[in-house]
Amino acid sequence: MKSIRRLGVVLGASSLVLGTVTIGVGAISASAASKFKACIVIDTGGVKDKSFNQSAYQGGLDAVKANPNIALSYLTSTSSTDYAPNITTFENKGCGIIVTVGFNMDAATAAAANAAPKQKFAIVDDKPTTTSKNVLALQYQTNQAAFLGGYLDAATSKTHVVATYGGMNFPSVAMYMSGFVAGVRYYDQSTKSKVKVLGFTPGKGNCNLASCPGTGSFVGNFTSQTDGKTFAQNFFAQGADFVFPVAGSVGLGSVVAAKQAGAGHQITWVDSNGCSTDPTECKWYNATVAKGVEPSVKTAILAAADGKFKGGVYHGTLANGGTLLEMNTSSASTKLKATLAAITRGIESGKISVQPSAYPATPK
Amino acid sequence: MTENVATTDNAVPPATRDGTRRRWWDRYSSTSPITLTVLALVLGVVIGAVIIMVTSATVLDAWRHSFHDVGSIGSTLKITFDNVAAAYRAMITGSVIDPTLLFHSISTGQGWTVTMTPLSETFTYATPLIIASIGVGIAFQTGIFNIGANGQAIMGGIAGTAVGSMIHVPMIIHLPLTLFAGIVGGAICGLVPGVLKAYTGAHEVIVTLMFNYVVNAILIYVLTATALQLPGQANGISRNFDASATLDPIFGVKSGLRVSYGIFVAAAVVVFAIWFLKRSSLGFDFRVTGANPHAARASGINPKFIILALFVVSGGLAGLAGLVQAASTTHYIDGGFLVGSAGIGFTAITIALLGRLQPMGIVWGSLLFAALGVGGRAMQAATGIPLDLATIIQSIVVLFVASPVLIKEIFHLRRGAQSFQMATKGWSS
Amino acid sequence: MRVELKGVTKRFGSFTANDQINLVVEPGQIHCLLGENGAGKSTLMNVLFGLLHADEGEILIDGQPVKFSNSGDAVRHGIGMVHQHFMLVPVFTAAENVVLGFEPTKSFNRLDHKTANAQIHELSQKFGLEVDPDAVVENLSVGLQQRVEILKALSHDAELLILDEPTAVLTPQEIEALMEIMRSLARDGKSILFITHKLKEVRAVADVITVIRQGRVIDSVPPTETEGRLASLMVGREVNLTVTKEATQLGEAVLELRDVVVRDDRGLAVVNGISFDVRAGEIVALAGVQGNGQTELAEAISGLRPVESGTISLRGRDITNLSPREILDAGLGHVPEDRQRDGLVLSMSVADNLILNTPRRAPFARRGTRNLTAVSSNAQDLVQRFDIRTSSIESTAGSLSGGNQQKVIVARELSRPLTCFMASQPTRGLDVGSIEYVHRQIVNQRNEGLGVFIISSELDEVVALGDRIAVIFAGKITGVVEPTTSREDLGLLMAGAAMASHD
Repeated sequence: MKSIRRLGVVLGASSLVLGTVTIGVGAISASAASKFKACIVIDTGGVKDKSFNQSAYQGGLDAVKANPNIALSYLTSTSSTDYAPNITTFENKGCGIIVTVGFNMDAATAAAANAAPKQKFAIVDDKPTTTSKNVLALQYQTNQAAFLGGYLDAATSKTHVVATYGGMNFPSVAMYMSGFVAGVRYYDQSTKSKVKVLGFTPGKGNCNLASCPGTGSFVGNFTSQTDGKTFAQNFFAQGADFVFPVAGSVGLGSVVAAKQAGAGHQITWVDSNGCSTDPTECKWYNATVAKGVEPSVKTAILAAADGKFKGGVYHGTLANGGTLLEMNTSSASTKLKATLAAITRGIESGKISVQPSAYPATPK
Repeated sequence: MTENVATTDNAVPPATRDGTRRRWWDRYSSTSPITLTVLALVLGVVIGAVIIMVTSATVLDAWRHSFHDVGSIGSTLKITFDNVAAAYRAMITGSVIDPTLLFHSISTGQGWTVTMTPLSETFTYATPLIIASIGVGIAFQTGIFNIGANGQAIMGGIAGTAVGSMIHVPMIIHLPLTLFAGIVGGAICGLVPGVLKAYTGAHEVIVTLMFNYVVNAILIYVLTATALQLPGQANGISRNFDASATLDPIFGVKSGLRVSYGIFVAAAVVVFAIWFLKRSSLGFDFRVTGANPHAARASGINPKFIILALFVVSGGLAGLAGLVQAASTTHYIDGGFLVGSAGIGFTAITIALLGRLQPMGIVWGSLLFAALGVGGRAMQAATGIPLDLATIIQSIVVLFVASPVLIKEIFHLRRGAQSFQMATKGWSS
Repeated sequence: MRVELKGVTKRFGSFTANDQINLVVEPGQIHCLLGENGAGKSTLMNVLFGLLHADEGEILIDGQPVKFSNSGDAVRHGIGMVHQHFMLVPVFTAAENVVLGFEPTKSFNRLDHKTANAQIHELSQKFGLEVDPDAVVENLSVGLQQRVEILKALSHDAELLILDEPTAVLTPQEIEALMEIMRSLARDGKSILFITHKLKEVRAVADVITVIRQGRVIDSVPPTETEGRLASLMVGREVNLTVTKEATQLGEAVLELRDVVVRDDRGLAVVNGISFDVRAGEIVALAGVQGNGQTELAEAISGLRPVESGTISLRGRDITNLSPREILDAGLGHVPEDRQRDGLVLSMSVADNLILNTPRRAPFARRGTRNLTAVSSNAQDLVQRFDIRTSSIESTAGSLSGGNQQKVIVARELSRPLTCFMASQPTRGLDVGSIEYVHRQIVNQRNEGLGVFIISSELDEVVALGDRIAVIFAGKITGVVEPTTSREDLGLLMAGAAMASHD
């Protein structure tokens, strides 16, 4: 009995010790009280999560680089319980702008914004359902970069079949798929090819963040890697060689499927560069349709520091770096890269539409 | 369990000294848990200071400079001291009260919200910790290691959130029903390992520990694939509590102070625990079983029943803790609910031991841990020193309290031979 | 080796455990240290063995003053000790325990089991203490664990062997064997410090007897001194060593066993078809060498161990395989063999221990809430009635001496309505004063018409208390005899010579 009690002490103590192993050493001197204070509430992943939190923090650092009169600080949340007090802490500290990261902080940000109409907020990748004018929702026109991704996959596909699937049929998810399909159709139209795209059929009407009509393959969750594997295997069986999963960590299952299917099968990733989040499996990713969190955060902070802050929605586009296609070096030939660059300019100028309805559907 | 058992003639009362020093020495060398904890805290703060010094860029730069220019050693020492002092000042004023703000509030009658926020936050964080730690503490007193408190807390949170968000009845029914659902959720989750232990002899440490992972998976499942998920959401997040099922801030939502009616729930749990352990027949059976299972059996206590009852009580309290956390702060649960470093059920193990399994000890332990966490956040905001420093100090306190011999050696509390006995007996003796 | 203690004083706070103790052990001498529990014998030995440090005085070995900062020093100076409370690793084998700290190893520091077993075998042979080297200690009986302890001490080539209450747990035969060992060791020139409170043993084996009372040396006397004189020196007053019993009216059978079979943890039928009755108003004493099924029998009667076959009934009611709770409630009082393990919760208060098996009975609790006032007043009453020496009813049971711990159990059992009173080894490890007390209580219960069942491996006790004596050997009753039966005949029965051959 006694030995069991001692075991408990050890467990109790070691659970704490383990908790401290990851010591972020990022002491920033809080020298200037006169500086403009930009403050970021980081979610539970921490500032080195190789995802949105890290990108948001990097955006803050970029802003400091651009305007040395900005003092940056951040607070890490250990759970959703921490969101509200972290925001409160920054409010009491007199932050010029408080950036919150991700959908999880939606409720806390909206509540804080309603309570303090003079406090400026920006929230990454989310649009709170609040009417207050002091919140800038940083949102991303991901269909623009997905269009490039679709074009890239169509152009490099050897089987002339590519595929996509989503986690659930929400506008934010379908937008990627819609842009992807549009890119493939544009490729077919401009090169007189017949590349098939599986997994998404656009509906009537334009696709935007509020609504993106269409039907297709959705796994029904954002966590089951088994589902991701099954879906990708089905697509491979139907002849696809590129799969574009828009389903968070479900997509990792597709990477496993690609690996099992062997060379010639690749995954086009979303949000944050697959190669940097999953470096050991880099060769199974050909490109990433990314959200440009860094430039959006940087822009928001700089605007606030310059007194030009305006609430509403920031639309991340190819033009402002708010969305982009990150390719692996070997994914495309020089010629294809040049074509993609030209298409990018076309989208930026509005000459090329990213709506699938602008192009004829590839006959089955 | 905390009393020392003198079974032989070699159990040695504290050493004595002649003259007037004796009483002082006796008090100093008697190792009351409070003395021990305070000294451990002192050590934690000292080691924390060293860590601040060696990780602060400003301080390191100053030392680098002094290395070349010996004359600047004075200002370097000042920079070092200032940095450490600023960190700890922020930690204390950020978790208890800032005297400057207090003075301002008293003299002007303004700004009470900001002044009282640290205390309010400390109590907000301490509330679920107290409840969960008492649940764990009761189990430990019975000699059962409930490592599954975190899973039980999550289950309580899930069950309570379901009742709180999907049933719509008046508050007078809804709130008690929600609290009850939290208890039931945790109790059921505790009962499974309890049944396994009682009827198959499975070791509760392993079963409860593993059950935490099962519950983590259940959490993700209910948040992404059941009606509990907030409609129209891709993310794993639950529906929101009805206003009739939340534990609201005591001073009103407009006060800006989060401290909620949850602390009354915690207070009720403390009173219950004291009564339960000291005055209830079942609590007596628990204590007998924990202190001597053989004698418990011989005096007619049914060990199977005790194990099951214990897991219901301990799991129920853990479940209540999880629910209180959700009902008093976020009003919803998400995929990160009590996961990882937010796992109050794991912290509860530490606090239960720190508080020597006694309800009041656990209250103080919870307040200390909450204050370190809240103060740590204030410190990070004010000085940029990561919140993790607070965790380091927590860990050091626990490590030193867990190894009284070390503390005694460092502070010369006792000499020689007896320390060895302590070392071999460990914590619980 | 000549060992001398000069003016040794040891204080614990305001309590003086040893006060100016002077003692000389000559080479080849068996020196007995006689005293009641708590007289300071163990403290003195712990000082001599380096476990405690004397506040005053010195230790001389062959005239040279020595200082021991730990027991290792003492061992190096040729002092070996067998502790009253075993210092064995329960999950190790006997051989591993004996070689612990001085393990023979093979390459890569692996324990050499073969050599270790050979060593213990050789030691067992040499000193006549048979032990299975491969037996795991926690599975051994108390008596066998004791043997391992003794072997361990002997294995370090001790010149002075301290035996702290070594006979408390041994059978008469084992005691006789141990005494023979002590004599032969003394003939080899080794000195022995033999600590005990048993008068017979002292007189049988000692060269010199030093009596200690309340931390002081009272007198040194030769072994020819009478038992009565030794007892009064020890206790400080006249002691009545014989138990007086009046004739009682025998009543109905209160405890009946019929063909009871009980298996031990290894699955062996260690109680193999036992039948006997205990009637109201009599004491039946079960005699036998330890390890012949007594422990399992007691456990089976009290519901702690399943009965394989046969029936046990309490005043006509079948209690076979009922739960301990039901058997307690049926009126069986039980003083368990290992009182610290099964009878008490040492870390809890005397008051709580006094209601340990009736916590829910009125007036101690009502509807799940304990009535602490009732618990306290019950404790006050019993502490006074049974003369339990404790500083407070809130003191932990662990802080009491062995005799007072036993009184707590006896008081608890006798304070509730009983049908039958069963006591296993009721006076094991108790001092003369406490034995006298416990025996009187047991006889009182019998006189008041209770059926009493005593299990004891102390032949003296069995003979003194029993109205009838049942002898157990290898799980069977070898005979039920009158207390007037000669010790030789009892000894034969205990060794398995069945009564049948006499009939």
